[in-house]
Amino acid sequence: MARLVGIRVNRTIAVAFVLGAVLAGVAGLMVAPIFLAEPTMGGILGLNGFVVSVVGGFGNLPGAVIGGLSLGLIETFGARYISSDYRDAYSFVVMIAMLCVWPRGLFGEKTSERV
Amino acid sequence: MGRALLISAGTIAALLAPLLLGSYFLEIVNIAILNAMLVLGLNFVTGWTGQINSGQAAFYGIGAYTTAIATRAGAPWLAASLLSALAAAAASLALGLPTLRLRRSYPAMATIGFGEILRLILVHWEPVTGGSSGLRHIAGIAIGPLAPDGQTQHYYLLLAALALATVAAMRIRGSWLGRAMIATRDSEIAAELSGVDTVRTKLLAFMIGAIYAGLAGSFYASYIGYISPDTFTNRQAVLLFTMLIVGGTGSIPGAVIGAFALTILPELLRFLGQWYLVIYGVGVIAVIILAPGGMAAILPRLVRRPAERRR
Repeated sequence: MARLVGIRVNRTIAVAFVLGAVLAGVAGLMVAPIFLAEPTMGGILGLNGFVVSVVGGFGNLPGAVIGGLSLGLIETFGARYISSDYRDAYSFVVMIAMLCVWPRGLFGEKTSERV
Repeated sequence: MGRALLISAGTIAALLAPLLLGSYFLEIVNIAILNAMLVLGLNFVTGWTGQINSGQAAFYGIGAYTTAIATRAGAPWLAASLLSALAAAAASLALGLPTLRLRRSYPAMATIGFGEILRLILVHWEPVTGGSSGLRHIAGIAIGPLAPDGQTQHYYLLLAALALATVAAMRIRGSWLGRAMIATRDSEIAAELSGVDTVRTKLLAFMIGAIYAGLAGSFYASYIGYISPDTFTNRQAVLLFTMLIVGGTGSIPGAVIGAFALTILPELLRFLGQWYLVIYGVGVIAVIILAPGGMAAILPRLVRRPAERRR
């Protein structure tokens, strides 16, 4: 469909991929001085990224920002007031709860499925 | 004809295996059998219903810990094993009910999250799960008077369990449920329009897969006698997934072959030292690229080729 109206599909996908990687690199630049850097740190952070987009709503910039901030706050407050052992679990609990009650996320748009 | 020959040759080889293999290698084969049960369970969800499930290792863990805790509390093994299956089924129902209504990658993410939550619980709930050092001295398998001792006896018991699991999978595949699963995988919308309740089908597939994992976990805990959280992480879930893809997604022989190949191969490649992971990784990628249907798709071609050449 996109190809028919003159969009270079492969290049667009590649550009989107590069932009995503650049943003992730910038995030890494900021996270390394605050926490620490180790080879396997990306796994849990990458999952958190997905949780944020589920909470905020896919394809929605304010949703991503607000979702990210609220998730960070939930993790930190959870670690402080409930138990720091389960720090990484709070985000997943929030995501599964969100999928139960509001699968589109806070600001997600209604998308239709093409047959 | 060729197929019957292949099956009977395989059966004889499987029955004679303990005579040829040492006790160390037999233990690896036993683990391969357990992995085959897990991958058969995963095949219901991923191979036939088309849903990505990263929770199989978590259900495995639920089964193993349930058996360990129940037998410690004094329950007979058979009751503990049934409890393991029930616990895994209940967990899969609780997780699947909200998430399987959704499509695309949501179930995949929810099951990854579930695996991570379970790992954290296993590590941190020390009074019950023993924390990161795990649980030791778990009572052995005992089905009435049948209590296997040593690798060979365990091998025959696990082999019988795998045979039962395989037959059950074949029966389910041939039933209305199996057809509903395939229809759901091929097109959810078309299946809905033909009167298939896709949500219920996905949920049933998910629960059957979890029951397989719960029982495999129960066998594992009592066979090895020691469990720790490391065995049931998302890493294991990814490995099970790889086994299914390498063996052949949606194929019962494929699931078994994939589990055996990827459990035994690292041991055979051990002489390579650190390099074994490289060879192993390249081999897996090669199978995925060269044979998209997995090893189950290659074998029939190898068997049939000589006959076709004669024509």
